[in-house]
Order: sequence, then C-alpha cells, then structure tokens
Amino acid sequence: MTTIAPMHQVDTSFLRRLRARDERAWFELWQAFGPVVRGMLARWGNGRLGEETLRDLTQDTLAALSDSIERFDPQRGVRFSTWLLAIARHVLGDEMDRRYAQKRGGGKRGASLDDSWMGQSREPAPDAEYERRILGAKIHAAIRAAQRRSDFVHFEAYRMRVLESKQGREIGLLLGVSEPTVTRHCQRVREALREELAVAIEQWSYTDDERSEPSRAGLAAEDAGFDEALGEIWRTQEELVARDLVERSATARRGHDDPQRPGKADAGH
Amino acid sequence: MTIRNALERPMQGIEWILLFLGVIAFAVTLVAAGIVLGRIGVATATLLTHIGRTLAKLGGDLVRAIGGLVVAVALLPIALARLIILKPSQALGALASAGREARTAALALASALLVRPLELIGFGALVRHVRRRLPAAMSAPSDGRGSGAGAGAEFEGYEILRELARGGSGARLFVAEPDARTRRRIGLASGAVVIKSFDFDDGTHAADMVREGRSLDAARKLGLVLDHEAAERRFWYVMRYYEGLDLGRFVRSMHEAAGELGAADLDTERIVLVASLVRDIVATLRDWHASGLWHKDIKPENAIVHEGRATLVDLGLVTPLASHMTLTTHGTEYFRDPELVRQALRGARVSEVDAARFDLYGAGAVLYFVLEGTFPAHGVLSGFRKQSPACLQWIARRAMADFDRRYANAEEMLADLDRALLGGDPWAVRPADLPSMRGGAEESEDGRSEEARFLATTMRGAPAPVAIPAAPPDATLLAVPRVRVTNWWTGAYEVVSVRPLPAGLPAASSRGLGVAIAVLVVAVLALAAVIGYWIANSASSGGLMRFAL
Repeated sequence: MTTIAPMHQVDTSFLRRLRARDERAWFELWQAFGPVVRGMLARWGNGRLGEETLRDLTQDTLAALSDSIERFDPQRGVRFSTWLLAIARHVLGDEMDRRYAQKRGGGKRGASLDDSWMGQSREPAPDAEYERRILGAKIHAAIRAAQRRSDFVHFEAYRMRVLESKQGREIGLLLGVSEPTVTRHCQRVREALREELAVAIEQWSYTDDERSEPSRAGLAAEDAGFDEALGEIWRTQEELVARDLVERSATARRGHDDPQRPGKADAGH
Repeated sequence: MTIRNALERPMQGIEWILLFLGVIAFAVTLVAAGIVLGRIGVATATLLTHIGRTLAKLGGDLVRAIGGLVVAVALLPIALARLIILKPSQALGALASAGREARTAALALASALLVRPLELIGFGALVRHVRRRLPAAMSAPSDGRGSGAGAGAEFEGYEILRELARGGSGARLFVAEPDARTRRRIGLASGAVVIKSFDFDDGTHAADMVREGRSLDAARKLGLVLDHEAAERRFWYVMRYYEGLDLGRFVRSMHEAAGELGAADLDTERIVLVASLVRDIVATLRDWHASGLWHKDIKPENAIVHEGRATLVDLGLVTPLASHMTLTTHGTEYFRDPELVRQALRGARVSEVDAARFDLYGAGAVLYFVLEGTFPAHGVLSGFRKQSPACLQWIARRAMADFDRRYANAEEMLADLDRALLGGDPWAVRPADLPSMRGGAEESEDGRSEEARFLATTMRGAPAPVAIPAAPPDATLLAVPRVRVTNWWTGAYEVVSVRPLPAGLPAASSRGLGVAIAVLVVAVLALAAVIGYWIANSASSGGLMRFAL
C-alpha cells in the first residue's frame, strides 16, 4: 500500500522564500489560499464588503501571514488553518474598526497582530467546512503542481478518469490511444500527485493532526481508492468556490462590483 | 332507392380513391391542427408569462413608489427636529435623503404608469433603447463649442452622434458619422466611426498620451485607423464603430435564456455560434501576433459581437512583442495568465518571453467562458459543469495549459477550432481528431474514428453525427450553410450555418407555425373537396345513403 511520505521536518524552503520576500513564492501562496480566505471574508462581511475590498483584505491577510511567519512558534501546536483564520479575523476586524472610526470622523484605531493571535483567539473554533476548504486548498495546490510537471495529454487522461469518471477504453477512444497507454498515463500523473501532495501537506501543516488529514480523507489508499478520494475533494473544492462566486454575485447585485465581471487589476496578488 | 339497396351497391373505383384521399387528408388535418394548436398554446403561455412578469414589475414599481414616499415623508419631521435642536448639517442630510427618496418614488411611479404599460403592449425594445440612450445624451458635456449629443468636441468632417463612457485611458470616445467627402477620403462606404480623443483640456495626462501613442501605432500597423490628427494640446484618431453587444453580455444573455427555457446547457447550434465567435478572436490574434503585437487584455468584454462576428476592441494595453519594457501585471483577473504574473514578478522583459502565448491563455479562458457562462476560477484546472463537446473543452484547456505546454501560436489553436467547427457538429469530433494531436497521440489506429464519434455522440444523446470529410479543414467551408428539417410532419426547416447571423440574441425558429397553418389549410380544402365530390356523386347515383351510413 502506497502512503504519503512522512516529512515531519518542516520543508522550510518555501517559508524561507516567503521570508525573503520572494514575490513568486508569495504568488503561490495567493493561488493556494486566496480563494479560501476571500470566501471566508465574504461570509463574515455578510454582504457589506465589495469585491475590491475583499481582494484587498485577502491580500492583507496573506501579507500578515507572510510577515508573522517569522514569529510563528511550531511548539505551540497550533494548526495552520487556525492560524490563518485568526489572521483573517484580525484583518477584517481592523478594517471594520477603521471604517467605524472614519464614520465617526476620527482616525484609524491602532491594531496590531501580536502573538496572542497565535491560537489564543476567543472566536469560535473553525468549523468543519472551513477545515475542508483548507484541506481542499492544499490538495488543489498539489494538483496544480502535479499538472505543471506532467505532460498535458497524460494529465487530461487522468482528469477524465478521476473527475469525469470515464473508463480507460472511452478515454483511449477520445485521445486516440490504447487502454494500456491510458493506464500508464494515469499512473505517471498519480505518482506526481502523491509526491506533490506530500510536499503541499507538509508545507502547510503545523500539527500531526493536520498531517494525518489526507490519510483520513482516503488519500493514503491504493490507486483506485486514491483516485476516488482525490476526485471527491477536487469536485467539492470546485463546488465551494463556485458557491462563493454565486454568493458574491448576489452581493454585487445589491450594490457592489460584480465578481462575475472581473475588472482590470494591476496585479493579481 | 332504399338504404338496403345503397349498401348492396358495390363501391366504384373512383370512390375507393376518394376514400383513400379523404382518409389521408383527414389524418393530415388532425396532425396539422394539433401542431397549430400546440404552437398557439405555447404562444399563449409566452404571452401570459409576459403579462405576469410585467404585472409583477408593475407591482414592484408601485411598492417602491409607496415605500419611497413613506420614507421621504417620515424624514421630514426628523429634519425638522434636527433643525430645532440646532443641528443644521444633520437636518440638511435628512432633507437630502428625503429628496433622494422622493426622486426614487417619482421614478418608480413614472415607470409604473408609463414604462410598464408600454412594455406590456410590446414596446419593451423601444423603452430599453430610450432608457439606455437618453441618460447618455443628457449627460454629454456642453461648453457651447459643439452641438448635438457630442457637444464639447469638434472634429472636422464628422458629426458627433453621442459620447460613450470613458475608458481607463482617460480618453473621450465619440460615436460619429463622417460626411460624404470624409467618407470618400477615409474609404468607408457606410457605418459610423468611433473617435478616440486625448485632450489636455479634458484632463488627459501626458502618461496616458504616451501609452496611447503606442496603441495608435499598433492600430495603424493593423490598418484599423481610418483617420487621425495631432495638434498641440490634443490628438485624436478614428476607427470603425461596431454597434453590438460585448461578448460577455451576449454570452451571459444566451446562458440565461437557456436557463429560462429549462435547459442548463446551450444547444449545439448556440455552442457552434459562440465557439465561432472565439474563433474570430483567435484569427484576429493570429494577425496581430504576425504583425508583432500583443493585445494583453483578452476578455469577453473586449470583443464586440457585430453581424454574427466578434471584433476585438480596446487597444489600451497593446504592446509590441519585441518591446524591451519590463513585463507588468496589467490585465483582467481570471483571463490573465498566471505565468504572466510570475514572469513579471521575476522582472522579465517583454522581448524575453513569448508574450503571444499570454494572449492564447486569454483566448482559452474566453472559450471556457462562452461554454460555461462564467469565468475559469481555477485556471486550467477549472472543471466544465455544463455539457459541451469534448474537443472544445480540450481546446480551452490546451490554450490555458502551462506556458510550455499550451499552443505554440494562434495558428495552431485556430486549426483546432476550425477542425472542431467544421461540419457544424463539434460533438462528432474527438480531441484525437484535432490537428494539434497528430503525432502527439500514440498508438492511433485507423478505423477508430467512427466508433469514437458514435461514442462521443451517444454519451450525450446528440443527433446522429454528420460525416466528416478526411480533407484538412478549410476555413472557407465554415460559411457554407446547410438546411436542417426540424419537423418532418410539417416540413418545417431552418437554415443551419456554422455562422448564423444573430440580430441580437439568437432565438428559436418560428417558421414551423406558418408551414403548419399552410398544411392545415391545404389538408382541410382537400378533405372538403373529397367530401363534396363524394356527396355530389353519391346523391346522383344513390350512394349518399352509403356515405351517410
């Protein structure tokens, strides 16, 4: 039985790049967790935040995450997801304070992200859906990485099998290759996925509990089970993001800019 | 003659023929009448739906009017109270709010009393046109120099019709009509033009002018600029104006219309239409790239659907592919290549990367958008939730694939699109049939195409696939129309082309009703003639009783 490689020593290369203000590492962070953070902020904003504001707050959240990585203490046993959530709450709270202060004609109230946010939040614990989203984001990052290093046709064959539940013969007919070739394509992509999954999970997990989540989700299973579990998470993540977009569109129709009509952006991060 | 005698008389040959014709005419009458009644039922339902919706809107207007009035009245004592407690600024605020509410109420009331009745009797298009144009015409600035809707600017040889909303470049945009002499000079026989004007007196900054100068150069290179003039404080140039919806609105309306009809997916005809529009964009990109230009902002809102074709507009970010400038991350989220951001963050120069491929990513994202009705939130990993042909999904993904794995150029993507659209049935085309897959698909076997096509079509329950010639795709064939019979009973048909010419949104054909009525009339006349002849003939020979029986 194939399992996810244990990598309990934190892979610090990515964090090092973040600390070194490596813009590309920062962009990877945005790609991986931007949609989740934006979705959470939109929900907390309860329709009061426009699309531009959400984008800015998401950016602020990830910037704060990047900054406070310096001060993160793995010994406290705080989950990455909890930490990210606390930072997002802090950023949103800061924004609300600023708006409130402006409304009253005063200046911005001072607010700082100190170590008390590191797992000491008085807010309710993250709900199951949030945890699912974070796990989905990590897995999506792994899928993206595997896709980048795989041949286009191989990856499409795997996608057809896992996401569209097509049989090998059917995929072979569509791609003009034999069924054994499809199997080989899928195997290559699966191997790349397992490797990238191990990296992504290790990179964004700070507790043993977080590290064991993929196994609990069925990703430590044999090929068929792995594919099934991965497809399920992949589809769920897409549905969650699609639902976020629908909710934000409804918000936009109530007076904010429409996320279904994305505007020009100087930078996507 | 008694009834008994009449029954005993054998039927003559002509009577058998008449009986046969009578039965045929009767059957055709029944079928045609059923179709006509069905169509009338649909029309009635549509009419009732229209009435219901209009009444609902009318009700909404009335509620808004009453609500606005109530709030306005309620705000007045509040304003008075604030004035009494010596808070004049707050009193003014309350008064301003009351004014806004009163205006809202008045507009809602006007809508209820004037607009909705007009919509109810079928003048909805007129109302929408006036609503859209009137505010623009009224808000056009005027300083006494010009006249008409485009007051505030004058361009010799052009009559300004109206001003468009300003773009991000700070330029003013005017729709204008050239006079006869100017038309001859610029070589434009018909149609309006759009004038893009940069004027320091209108608030244009030097940076905008410099950037636009690059666009102007690009547009001139492509032969898009019909006329231009530069003066000390302003310059302007003229391009052809395309009246139409932008592709974003066009496609959204199409998906919404499909949703209202209870279909989550676009039908084959509409899929072919929207994919053909993307083909137009890719063909334009091929020409631009060949001219050494990078559009840099490919998105549905930057293509205008005009006379069944998509025209790429907005030259605001056009950049020479050989430019030594550092890459910037300008563009539009979800349609901008993530690789562009990575390269820009690396500090790469435009000339160091194959920037034409960034446009191809945008074209792939646009293809995804037209098929799905929404943008690809996950880039190349975005799933297709609606039913669409596998080959078109493949093309969209290939265009959005990782930088080194996507189409090498627009020509390759165009060849794939042409192959998918050839014959008008993309469901019958496998990804393996696309030109870009030749040589890439291992172990291809001859004789599999028919099986695969059958598989591809039966998976969706599409009509039987059309035969696809083995010859290489020929773009000129795309314009050849074909006829599709939509109802074998009535003979209703419609002309199906890869390139239908929609006047606004494509709608379902209603030609079947006319044919059905014609068939019904002919069948009834034939039946009446048969019966009349029979009665006359039988009366003279005593066969009437037989018929009566």
